[in-house]
Amino acid sequence: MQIRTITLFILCVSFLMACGSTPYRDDYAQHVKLQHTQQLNEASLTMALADVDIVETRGLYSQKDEMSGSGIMYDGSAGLAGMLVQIGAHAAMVNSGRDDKLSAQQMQANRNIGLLTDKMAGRSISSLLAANTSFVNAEEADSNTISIKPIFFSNAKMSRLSLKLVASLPNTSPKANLKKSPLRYQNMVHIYSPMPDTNDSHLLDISQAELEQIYSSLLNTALTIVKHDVTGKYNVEGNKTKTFILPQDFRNTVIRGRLADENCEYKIVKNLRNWFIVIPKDKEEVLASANADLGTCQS
Amino acid sequence: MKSISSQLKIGAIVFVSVLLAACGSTPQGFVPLVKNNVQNQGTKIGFVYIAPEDQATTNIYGAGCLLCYGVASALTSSLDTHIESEISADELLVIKQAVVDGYGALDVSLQEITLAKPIDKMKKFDGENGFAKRDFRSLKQSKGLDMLVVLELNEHGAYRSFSNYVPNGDPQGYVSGTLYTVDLTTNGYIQYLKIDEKVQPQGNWDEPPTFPSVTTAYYQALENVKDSIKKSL
Repeated sequence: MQIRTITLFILCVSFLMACGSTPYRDDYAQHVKLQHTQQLNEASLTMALADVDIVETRGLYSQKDEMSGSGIMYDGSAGLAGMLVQIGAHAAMVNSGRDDKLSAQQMQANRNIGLLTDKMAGRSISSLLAANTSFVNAEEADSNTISIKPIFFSNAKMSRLSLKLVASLPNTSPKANLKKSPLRYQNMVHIYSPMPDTNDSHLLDISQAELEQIYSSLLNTALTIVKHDVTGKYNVEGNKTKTFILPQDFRNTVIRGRLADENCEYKIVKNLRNWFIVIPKDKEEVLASANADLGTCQS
Repeated sequence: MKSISSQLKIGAIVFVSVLLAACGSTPQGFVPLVKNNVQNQGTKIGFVYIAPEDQATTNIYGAGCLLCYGVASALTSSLDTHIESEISADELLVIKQAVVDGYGALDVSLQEITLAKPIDKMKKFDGENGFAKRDFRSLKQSKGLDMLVVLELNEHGAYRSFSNYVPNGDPQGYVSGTLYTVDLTTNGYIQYLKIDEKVQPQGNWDEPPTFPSVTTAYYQALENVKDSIKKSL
């Protein structure tokens, strides 16, 4: 009886630990480091889409999913085992509430940017790629084809875009446990477009061609960073971890990481998750960088 | 026997009344800084910075029983280990600098001082809302100051809310404290800002041993506090 109660208690604590975990999101990637010996040659690498060839734009939202403290009394007359069952039920309720809250927030955020998504409705990702991108269909993909999944985001004002691009390579080692380690490389690039000069719905006011140019610029910059990563260009060992500031609509966002590279338009930071966060420089920084001759600006 | 029991009854009634009176008191609200008050020429303003007594950790709220707290601590133990080893009180110095810079932007130079005794050991001041809880007026003569700015940071690291055994959400980046400016003539607040910043980590929080989301959320909390201070001064 005592062993059964202890077992139930351990199961309950384990359940609580699992229930404390964050709901699943597809705009997230666990970093898998590409071994030095497996780095690719830029001339031979190709890319393919992981998903359908349609531009997807989502609205940004706060992602606060904390539930308000629910005052709850457990019925002690059911004994310790009964109380553990009640705790488990309470935990399941809270977790379900958090999932529902996040889901509702995402749906509302998407509704808020409906006019922008209508403007880009039906556009294909492949039409935004630069001419020199080695892009193949999924059927033509081989072990050196980088699988890419781009998701665009817009703020609620529809004045600024960002892109999260998840890139991965399949694990080709004959000794690998593919269930446990299906990938030999995975990373994410999160790139922001520059802060707009105006405070209005800038993305709705510009022409279709200008809008697609912004989408295309974000996508191709992200793909270039992925190529540089898999070919071993970035080496941040020895760089100090610092706080970088990304100006946003209402509040600055902190990026904690190490500087991987910079050019006259962007700083490329490898954050604590080893993702690449691409921070646009403001006008003064762009001017200073051009004077310091930090490489050609991307058009 | 009867007199003892009646005394106990009276004592219990007085205790409950005092407890209810304390529970009913209104917490001090935000007092915006009126810049003219601090920008008068010749005004001497001291500055005291009080760092948290405890090191950075996961601050647990809502675990209402001893066993609940034990379970909650167990759930956050590896996060505690990371925070305690990686985040020192020196990280909070950016907030201290933000206060100095905020007053500097008003052309006010703060004079950092050390108090002879901790604030919670100073004499209490019996005033209503709008007045400091401790009597700082003696500093006017002893330190030759007209006003005193106090930045007191209480807790930092992570914050996690529980309903007894059950976590209500993910651990959040966390900084708490108060920033206030006292007129040493009246002991009244010229400025008061409660600091209680919690930042939701982006994405999965439970990634031991480095917990990148929660760590970044902590630094975001620092940045948000700096921003709040800048806007309040």
